[in-house]
Amino acid sequence: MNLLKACILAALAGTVIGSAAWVLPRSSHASTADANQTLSDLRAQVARLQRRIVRIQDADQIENLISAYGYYLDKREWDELADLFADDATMEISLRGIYVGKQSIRRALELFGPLHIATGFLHNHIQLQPVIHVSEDGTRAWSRSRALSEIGTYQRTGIWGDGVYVNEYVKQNGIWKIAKDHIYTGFFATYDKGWESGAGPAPKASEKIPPDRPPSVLYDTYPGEYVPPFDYKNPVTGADIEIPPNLQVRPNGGAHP
Amino acid sequence: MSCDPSGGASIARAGTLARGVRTTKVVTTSCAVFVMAAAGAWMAAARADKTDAQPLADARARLARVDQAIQRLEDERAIENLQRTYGYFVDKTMWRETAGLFADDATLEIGGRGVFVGKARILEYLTWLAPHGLVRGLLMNHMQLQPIITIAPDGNTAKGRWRFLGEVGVYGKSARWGEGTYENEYVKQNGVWKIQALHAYFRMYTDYAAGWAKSAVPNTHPEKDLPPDRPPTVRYETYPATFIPPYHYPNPVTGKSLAGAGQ
Repeated sequence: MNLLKACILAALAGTVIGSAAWVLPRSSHASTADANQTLSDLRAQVARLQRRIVRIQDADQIENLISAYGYYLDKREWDELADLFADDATMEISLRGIYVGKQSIRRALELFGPLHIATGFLHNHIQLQPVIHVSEDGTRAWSRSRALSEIGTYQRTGIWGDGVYVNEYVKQNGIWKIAKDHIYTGFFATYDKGWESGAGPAPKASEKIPPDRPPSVLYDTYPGEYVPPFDYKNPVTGADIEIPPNLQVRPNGGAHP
Repeated sequence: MSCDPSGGASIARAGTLARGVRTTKVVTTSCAVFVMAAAGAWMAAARADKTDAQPLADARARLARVDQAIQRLEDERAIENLQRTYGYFVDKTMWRETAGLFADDATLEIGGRGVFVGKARILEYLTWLAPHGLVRGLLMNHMQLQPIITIAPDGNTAKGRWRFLGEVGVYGKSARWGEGTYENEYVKQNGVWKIQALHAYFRMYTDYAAGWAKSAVPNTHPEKDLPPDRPPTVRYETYPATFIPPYHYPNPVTGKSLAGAGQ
């Protein structure tokens, strides 16, 4: 009897522990919740990493866009160049005024010579020194970059050009496009006299292909002095970049210069 | 009393000696079944814990490595933006903004004029070079080109080799090409990259009109009216002499160090 009792007790104990086996899935409900938490933490971490990788890719693609712009400009590939712009983009080159929209931009490119580079013409615009910032949401970006230009007509003219771009980009359907192209001319100088005494004026609005809007700002190219505006803050101090007042571009009163 | 597997077995053995063997057998069998079920469940749970934990730790470690790799790319971009911004400031002699790009205890050594230590001295040097804020007729273009950035394994410091192509001059008086190499150091403080050491080695300055076939401007030397905090770290001459600024990085293909090759 004692043995039977013992066995019944054993069975009861077995039942208790056996039910622990049923409880386990329940406590593993708790650990499933933990696992889900861990999984969602990992997923969130992966999403953050992915976002950061995409921002790097964005900046990289914008660098390529700037370089591609330069290569097309070199060869006067106007159709290709115009296609780098968003439909409602603007282009403002030197003091020529603003061209609005892709079609207008395409027309304006003829200002720099006929489609396709021809024998005897040099139109190099080396694209350098890009500082790129991408928005947090990855839909817009801004750049400051520069061009070193070698422009000329064989046996006739040779020109050095210097300018700074302050540009804006937009990502549409996963593709970065130029939203705003604004080059501030530093100088144009003849090869013979260089920047010692060969500086010429910045080109102004064309009558043949007039801009849609007058220039947004006015400034004096070399030997004049000015600083193209910065659209970012000092990367170390985090403060606005302070341009001495006498070096700031002048807002244009709406008139063509 | 225990109902572990060995206890169950001893009960089963004892049960065979008792009457009511069938009942006892049923009880012991059910006991054994429960024990095995319990043990199985524990073991399964333990095994699940073990097998889940390992891949999880692996995944976490891998993500940490990915995080670090991304961080290095972000660092590199930040340093490129920093050095290029330095160039845009120098172009326009925006010296206060330029000095703001340096760490507090940074050094600056340009050409052969010696080493200037600390932000205040750096600003003093730059202002001595040209007035703060571009004046009419002054050209100071220093294009920042061709970077090789190396981030230290701990991610807190970095080195960069760059070159500048300079178009400098005073309108109506002089025009020069300038060219040289930077071997710079950067430091990350509170998540922000700053210039820790800027060292520009001049390669060539030449009169624009005569060009480098006929014109070579000698290197600069410490100035009496602006003595440096420390003498130049290295003495060298510019073109037509040769000097190779030391490389901070090994050959990227062979891994062979070229540090000091120019000395």
